[in-house]
Amino acid sequence: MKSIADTVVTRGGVSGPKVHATADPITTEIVRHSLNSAANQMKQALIRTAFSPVIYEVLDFAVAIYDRQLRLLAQAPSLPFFMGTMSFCVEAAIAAVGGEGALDPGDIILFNEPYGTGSHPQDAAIVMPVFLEEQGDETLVGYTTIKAHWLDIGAKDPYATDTVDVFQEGTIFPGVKLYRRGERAEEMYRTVLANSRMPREVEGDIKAEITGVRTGAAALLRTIRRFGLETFETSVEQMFNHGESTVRKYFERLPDGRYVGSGEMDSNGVEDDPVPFEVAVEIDGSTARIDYTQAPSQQRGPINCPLPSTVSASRVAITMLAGGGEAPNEGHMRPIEIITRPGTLFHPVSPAPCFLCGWPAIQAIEVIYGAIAKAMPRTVPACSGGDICGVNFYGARPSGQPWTAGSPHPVGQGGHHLGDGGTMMHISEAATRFPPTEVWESRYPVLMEKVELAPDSCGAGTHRGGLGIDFFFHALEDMQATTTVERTRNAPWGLEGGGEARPNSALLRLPDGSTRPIRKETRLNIPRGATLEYYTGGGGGYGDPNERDPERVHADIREGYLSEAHARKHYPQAFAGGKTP
Amino acid sequence: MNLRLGVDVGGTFTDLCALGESGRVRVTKVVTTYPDPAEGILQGVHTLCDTGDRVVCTILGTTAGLNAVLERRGAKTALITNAGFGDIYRMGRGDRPEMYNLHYHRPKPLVPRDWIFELPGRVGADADIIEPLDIERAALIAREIDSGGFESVAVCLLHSYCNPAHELELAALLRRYAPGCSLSLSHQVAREWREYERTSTTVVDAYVRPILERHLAELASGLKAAGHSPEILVMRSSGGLMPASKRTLEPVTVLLSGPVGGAIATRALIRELGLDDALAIDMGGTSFDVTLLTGGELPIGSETEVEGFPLLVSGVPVHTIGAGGGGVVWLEGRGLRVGPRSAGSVPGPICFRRGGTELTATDANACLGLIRSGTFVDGDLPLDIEAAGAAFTLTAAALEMDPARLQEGVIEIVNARMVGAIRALTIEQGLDARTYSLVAYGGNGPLHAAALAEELGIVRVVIPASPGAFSAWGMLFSEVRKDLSLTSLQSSSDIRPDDLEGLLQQLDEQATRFLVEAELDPGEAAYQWRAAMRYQGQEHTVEVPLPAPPASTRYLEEVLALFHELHQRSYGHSHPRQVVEFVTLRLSVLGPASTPEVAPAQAQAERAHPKECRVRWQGREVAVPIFHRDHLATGGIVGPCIVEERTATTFVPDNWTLEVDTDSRSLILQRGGA
Repeated sequence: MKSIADTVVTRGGVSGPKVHATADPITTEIVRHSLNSAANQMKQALIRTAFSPVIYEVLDFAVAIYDRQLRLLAQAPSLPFFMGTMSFCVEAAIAAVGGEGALDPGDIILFNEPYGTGSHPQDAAIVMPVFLEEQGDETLVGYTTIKAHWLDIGAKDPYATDTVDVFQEGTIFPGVKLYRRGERAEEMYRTVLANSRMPREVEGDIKAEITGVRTGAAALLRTIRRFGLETFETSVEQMFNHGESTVRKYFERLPDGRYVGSGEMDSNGVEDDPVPFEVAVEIDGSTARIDYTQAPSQQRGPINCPLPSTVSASRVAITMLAGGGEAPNEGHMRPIEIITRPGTLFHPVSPAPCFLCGWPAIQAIEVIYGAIAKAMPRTVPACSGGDICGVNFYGARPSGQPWTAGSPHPVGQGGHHLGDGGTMMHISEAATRFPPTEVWESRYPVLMEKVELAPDSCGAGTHRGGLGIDFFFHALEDMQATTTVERTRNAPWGLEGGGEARPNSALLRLPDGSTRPIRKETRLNIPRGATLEYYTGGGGGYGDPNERDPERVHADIREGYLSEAHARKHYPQAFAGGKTP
Repeated sequence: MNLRLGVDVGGTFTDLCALGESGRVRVTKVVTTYPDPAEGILQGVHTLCDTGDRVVCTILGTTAGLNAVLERRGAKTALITNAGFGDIYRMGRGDRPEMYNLHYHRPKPLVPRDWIFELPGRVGADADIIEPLDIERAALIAREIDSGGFESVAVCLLHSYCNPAHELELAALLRRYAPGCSLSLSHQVAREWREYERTSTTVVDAYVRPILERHLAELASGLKAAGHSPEILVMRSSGGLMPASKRTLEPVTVLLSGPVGGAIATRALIRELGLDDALAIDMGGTSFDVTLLTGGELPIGSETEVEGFPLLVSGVPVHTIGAGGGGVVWLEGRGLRVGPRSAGSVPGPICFRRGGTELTATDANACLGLIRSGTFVDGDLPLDIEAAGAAFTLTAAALEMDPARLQEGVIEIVNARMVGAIRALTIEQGLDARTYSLVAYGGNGPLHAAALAEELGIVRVVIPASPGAFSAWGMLFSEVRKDLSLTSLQSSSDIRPDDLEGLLQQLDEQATRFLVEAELDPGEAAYQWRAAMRYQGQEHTVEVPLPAPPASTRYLEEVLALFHELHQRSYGHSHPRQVVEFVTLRLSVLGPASTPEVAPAQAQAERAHPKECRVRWQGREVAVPIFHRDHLATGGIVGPCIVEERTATTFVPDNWTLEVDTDSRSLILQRGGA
């Protein structure tokens, strides 16, 4: 990171010490896959033993392995939006405890300071330094780390859309040793649990995370021992170089230029005005520069996006596009530069509130694709529903037992030059899943009334968008909810002549039948018998609807994806000459 | 003589392997017949049997179900769900299995949206009826299904794993109003929670059930008509056998049965050869299957998937790609592609002269001289090499390249795709393929194995006896198996020892019923008890092997202690004071194992002077000696050479040597210097 006047440039991992030896390509491939496999083992250990559905069903976490220079060696498929933030977590956590020199084998650090993790305090990072023991010497060789969503760590509410500073957002553990030389630091441990409304779940999840980082450390050491540290390091350099060249080759094919995309947040959470912003994408040879310097000032409400989150959003957007379908490592990040200005929406300064930092990050991803589409529309899909349409319910069961549960939800994806959009999680949460109705209903006092695709909710096009979904949650007991429905004021855009789709929305239907619209709300009262209705957005269309194959229009009508009226309006060619489905 | 028969029905060929009481093994290979595979099987039985022979038991592995799914040729299937939940089947869980693919789309579902019927009525998570089933609407749907020409119905209603009442009510109506339809009920197919995964499993079951039923009925009646016993056992994906009566048929459990026979046979073979780690590769006419055996064991997973559709059934993980001898050569722009689509047996490769007009990998092998007319399938299937050559000349002209180079290129592409599949199972899991032996079988495996090994840095290739019929041979080593389960959430704070025993008793009774239906002696069956357990609050469970009930008074205590110990061992932590939950109790019943006695190979004199032929290999025409496998007694032959036999052809490149392992009658290929 270096400052140019009042802006900050963040670049992907620098090259390590120059290594001249070359590892053979087969060994490099095995090292690369061994590392990915180690990350996957961490993930399995975590979800197999975690206590809260947000981890084991929704997969709201990231696991990663770093080398000693804090370069990403591997990560398991999980929450993409977290994945790009992990190096910041590790760096800040190590610095907080006193740097490398203060680390001992068996130490495990807890770190959840929002400006270091890039997330709200609930997303707590566990970091374990990994030491290689050889002939009595202990050498620090890397770190294993997990950032996972804890159900509660003492924010003003179990989930909040209206905080005004970070201190309302949860208890902060600014890099503290939870284990010293393998021994648990009991006083710190008790302090953590004492700050949670859900200590039993948090304790179970901490233990699962500890198991995860230890599993990863053992797997990393096995890989290093198998090949020897030197061969291992050479292979890692080759692996980074390969990742870097994959992304560089992609950008070399694109025309140089500066492309500006614009987006808008519905509100900042405490004031109701929309918050418009611009992101510019500059292609310069083989480098992609993402410029956030035109962003508005940091906000009073919690939609501020700390730098690690901004960097992560940019890396997610670019590596999904240009990474050749591979799991990204540090090399893939090298061609990406991010420029921000401190004091703004995308580089706020503490203690600005940032509980909802993920939401501007999601919008930024869409806007980056929107900017790229201006130059090269065939490379990206049209806009998706553009949100994860999250909900968090909480309350107390009749026994007095507190409970909380949340989930993101799929939206329609944009059509693209290869075909129609589907209905899936937003790309920023590509590996997350929504919980089965049977799991919801077994664990919480909720009856799902429907989970159903919404006909006509997609943007028209040669390749239409994916459909949005209607999710109806019926309350069987009094409860409260925090809703985070974003992008309700702007319809998802189409590309190359494709049409707009239905935007996200939500309604609360009270037992007396009255309704009111819902966006971002905290502690929304949902009395027994009321229904919270989510209508997730569709995807924008791609290409002129008049070019759509009439056969496909008829198939869509037959299968009930489109009503005949919608089809007649947008696809007249399918009815030309009195043709009917 | 009484014979036990193993049959492996592939997309192109059907392999048969018969074992008589004398221990003599006979094999044959016939072309798979469509649409009725029984015809081909019966033809093979006729070839194998001498006068006085009687097949007493047929063990069948079949890809008929899997191919129906892959090619979307299954039964016309309706799906019935709760009102408001018909789209669960299309949405899945909302995730993207290819998370770095911006343009990802889900595979085409087996049931189009307009064949999904929604029915009012709800069962709650606590098994209470929240809303009664809408009987009138159910009857209407049943009639509509009857008149709509549906062959099969899948039913998946919410919470049926804990209370199947609505599914059973609906089933009664369907049997009454749509009697011609076969029926798959989710609580019977996979009694586990998670509606999407259960629906997906049930739909696949329904989609293949009529096909499998027809296939089995035709085979049974054909066997009977020919004077054989109609008893058929079907190989399951898990490697166990399933009696094929209509009552015991569980189609979704046999979906991946074809490749499993080969994996079982490989396990037996590598144990005999004293090898630990092996990659079993099966290349037939249609597909290429890889199974990884580590430490001499077959892995068994508790969930599998086919084409991205989850299946809640246990199975041996087999990685399959469409790359067989029948893989069709095609052009994409100026790029050359081979497969994944196969020409199958009809129309088949051009050189088979069965109407095929598209070039395939087998055509390339024929033109390169690696397989020969007159010896391929002992001459039973003459090859028209000229026709294949002419087609290559045409395609080569379009690409402005040398026809011989094109033929070699086709083989290189097929090999590269197979190498990719092997890498997915080894290197991409962090395993070093170089330390594994390659066990190659299937009609085309031995021909390509050495080239794949070269590419992967593998130094040992094993070609079993009768490689083309190896999967069929493996069928004879398996035993009847039935997996029973009972999901019943019980917590250690409430459960009494009697409750646990009562639940296990229920499973025991089901097992006894199954054994009676399968006409097996309960005294000879082995029982394996397990419980899926977890700490309260966790979701995923640990499978704890249980001691056999009836239990001592301390049984429950013992089981809890076993759980804590296993959790500690698996994950490094345990919580002995926390409440423990029992989620699912499982019982696997295994019939008596079959360990066939095989007579040793009859020594045949080695031919002093092998024949010779010219093949094209790595850009050069070379003269290569050809041996017949029956005449190879010892080996010690330095490549290049070709070994021919009825069911396959083995190619040994230069830099490789060939040995014969006399006990197992396998060919062992070692890379030079190894």
